[in-house]
Amino acid sequence: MAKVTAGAIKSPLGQQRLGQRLWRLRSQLLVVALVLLSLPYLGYRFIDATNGLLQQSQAMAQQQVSQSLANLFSQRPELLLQLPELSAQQPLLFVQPINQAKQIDGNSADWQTEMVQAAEFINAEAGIHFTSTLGIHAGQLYGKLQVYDQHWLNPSRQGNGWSAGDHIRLAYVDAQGLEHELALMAPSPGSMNIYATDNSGQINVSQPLTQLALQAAMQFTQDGYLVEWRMPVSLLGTELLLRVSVIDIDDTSAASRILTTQGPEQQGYTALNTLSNQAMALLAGQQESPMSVTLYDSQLNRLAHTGHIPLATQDSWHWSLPELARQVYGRLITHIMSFTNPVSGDALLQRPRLLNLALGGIVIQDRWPMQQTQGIQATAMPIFADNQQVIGVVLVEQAIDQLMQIQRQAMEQMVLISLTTALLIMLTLVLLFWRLAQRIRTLGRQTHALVDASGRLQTGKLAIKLDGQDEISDLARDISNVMQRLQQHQRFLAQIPRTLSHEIKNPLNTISTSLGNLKAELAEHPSAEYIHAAQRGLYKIESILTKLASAASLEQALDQEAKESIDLAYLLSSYCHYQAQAVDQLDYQGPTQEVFMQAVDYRLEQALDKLLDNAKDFRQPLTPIKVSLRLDGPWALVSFCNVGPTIDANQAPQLFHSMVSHRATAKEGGKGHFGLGLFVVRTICEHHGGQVSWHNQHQPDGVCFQLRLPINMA
Amino acid sequence: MSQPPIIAIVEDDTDQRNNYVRALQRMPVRVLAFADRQSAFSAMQQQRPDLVILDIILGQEYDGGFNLYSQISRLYPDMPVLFLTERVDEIDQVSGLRMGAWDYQPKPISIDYFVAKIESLLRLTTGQASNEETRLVTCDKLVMDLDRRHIHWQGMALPEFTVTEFTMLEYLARRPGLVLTYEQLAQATFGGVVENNTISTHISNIKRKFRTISAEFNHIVSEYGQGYRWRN
Repeated sequence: MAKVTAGAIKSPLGQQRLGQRLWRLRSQLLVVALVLLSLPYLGYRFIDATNGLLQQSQAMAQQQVSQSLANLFSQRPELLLQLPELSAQQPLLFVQPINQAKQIDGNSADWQTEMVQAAEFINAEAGIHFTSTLGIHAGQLYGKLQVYDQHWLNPSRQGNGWSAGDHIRLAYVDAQGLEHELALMAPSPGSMNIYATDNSGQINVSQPLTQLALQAAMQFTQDGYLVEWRMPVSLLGTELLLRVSVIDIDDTSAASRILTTQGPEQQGYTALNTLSNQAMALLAGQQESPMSVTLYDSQLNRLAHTGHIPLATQDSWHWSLPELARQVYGRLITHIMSFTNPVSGDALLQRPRLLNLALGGIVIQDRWPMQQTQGIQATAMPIFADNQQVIGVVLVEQAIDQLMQIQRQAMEQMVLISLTTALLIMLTLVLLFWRLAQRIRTLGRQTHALVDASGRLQTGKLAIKLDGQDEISDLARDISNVMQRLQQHQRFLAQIPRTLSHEIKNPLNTISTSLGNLKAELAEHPSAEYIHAAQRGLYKIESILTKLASAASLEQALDQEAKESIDLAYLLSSYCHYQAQAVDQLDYQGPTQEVFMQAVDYRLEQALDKLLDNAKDFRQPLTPIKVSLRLDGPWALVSFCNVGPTIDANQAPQLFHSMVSHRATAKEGGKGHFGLGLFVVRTICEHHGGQVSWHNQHQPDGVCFQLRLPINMA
Repeated sequence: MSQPPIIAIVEDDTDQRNNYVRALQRMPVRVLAFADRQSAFSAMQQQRPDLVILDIILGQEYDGGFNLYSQISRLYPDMPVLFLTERVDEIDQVSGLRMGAWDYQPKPISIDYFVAKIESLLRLTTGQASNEETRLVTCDKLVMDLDRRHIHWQGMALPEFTVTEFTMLEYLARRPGLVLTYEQLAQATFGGVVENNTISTHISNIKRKFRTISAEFNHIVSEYGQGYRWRN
């Protein structure tokens, strides 16, 4: 079985160039897209700068408000300076205005946002220690009691009473001057039971005081336990007399230890501090403003508070695609704004820092986050007495929601507009680049189509419009001009053999006629044989010139010849029949039926002549030349195979080019081969819509040339 | 005693011109040789030659021979002309040259064939042929008038043939049934070197002209690999 080596020729150059071109265009598009990304960034920077101005304006406005209030209290120093005198003997039960109602759950978390001072009570001998914080809001008196006691003994119900245990007692005097004492009992952490006590201090178990709207709760803390309680201020009389007692029992067999706000085992009342009311009156003008104004004394006791910080309400969320898009977009904007307007920190740390710095005489502003708001903008303004001593601080806090809302709206519009603009520009650019790439590809295809597989220009004119005004059209025109010049040069090169033939034939004619005359006049001369030799040489030269001129004008001649329907099978059998008379071992195998095709018969015969000449020249002596015709669908395959040297693959690309010959005899000056044969074969074959190919054979070595010609289908 | 025929030769190449003159001087003719169109036409205006032999490229005139032919044909419409040219592929395309008693011979020229052609043309021009019976070649339904160069097929006149086509057809018609090789046909018509496909091109043109009268004409058969044959 003979091996077959295909003569396929592939070049990755085109693919490589295509890849480079795509990469270059993609790179350019990427660069342009990156430049476009600067649009949102520039918008972001603009809004950031605008936001800075707004923040500055807000801060200035806030500072002016703070300054005004500080000036107001500077003129009423008694409101700030009375407190130290009253608190000289004992800790005050100082009622401080608080911003919001407290959840009575024993948890102090909601007190953390309030800047309120705690009064501390200690009985070191008895080992009882607690702090009390009192706040007032919306007519309710709130208390927070932190008891530092690691041994909490829980009281429990026993029949009609309670067993001994730790608990809290509140005593007050009502508007009628009647004294009341309440016991706050907790069998376990959570809500506490509240009972009135009788005159002897015994708990009246049968009558829980739920109707007084009292509420209390206890939770353990790291240092002991915490009790939160609430009662209407209206229960207290005008003197606001109150006593808070902590009953500590570590052992049921031992006596209880009692520490009250009056001192150990003391039963008196403490008047709640109400001086802030006057201060509150001064701050009444700020009551409706959406800002929190708090007045502190030099001990940072909270004397007055007014106004409020509006909290954002959480929108109810329902699932829908637009809502989802809105949420996603909102989160995106929030995320972007977290970069442009970072509000960080901790109010618990920053607020005291502000107040302490203000006590040092420094006007200071800061921001910190706050739940249900976008953040807080705060100004701490020191209040100076006449002697330039700082006697208090005005703390103005304001939510930056409105500012942030403006910023957010601007950011949303900026993001929307810049993204839309960027997308539109990118879309335009993509279309432009796509169109550009398409035009370049078309130009490339058209340019490629100008040249056939063997590198010859088929036409010098591009099959695209050349009347455009842009650079691509300029390039197309340049290519077209270059190609037309190349075609002219190609025509010139093609004409060279004919021109050469014409130019040589005149001197040849001189030689020919001279030899003719010599022959006529010296026919009997002994040197006449030299004249015959010269005439034979002249004939060979003439033959070469004729072949060169014929090959040079072949394509032009083919275009002028009409094809007709011929029987290829008959042509081949007849051809081989006659050639076999002169060529030994010429074997032909073909179909018995007719094989019609559209062709110029003598041109096919010319191609067969060249293939046969080629096979004869390269076959080993006494080996056959096999000619065959077989059908392959709409194709007729005509093969000429000979035994002999194979074709080097390196020679393959030029095999069918004009003036390419690998015959040794050409170098030796034998019959004079100019490599026109296979060029003529290919030209004729392609003119008939076919292809010519070759492949090597092995065992024995040889070469087959094959014409693939289209036939008439029934 | 009649005057020898006058042959005018116009060839710009001195060596070639001398060789033609030398060859013709072995014939019973009087030879006038010219190197350019102007001197040749001027002389011919004075004296009418019996035959003119023209080179086409004359000095700097690329179509000097054709131009001179135009001038001569206006002066002497029946003047036979033999073109000597290396521009074989163009000569059949020159309009107006297919009529009349003219012929051409491609360069390089075989002196023997050149002389034979001159003798043939002189027979037409000097009245030797008219004194004899009309020379006809008949084959099947083909009739060729060799003197008038007319061809009839099935009684109808065929379109004008070129000299080469006429000669080739005559060669085939005189040998019906015989396979004539390309070499034989080349020798008969050109007397020199030609490619097989040049012969085939002329045969194709001959067939095409027959088919203007008879679409089914198939009396000239291709013997692929060998040549052509007239089939009765």
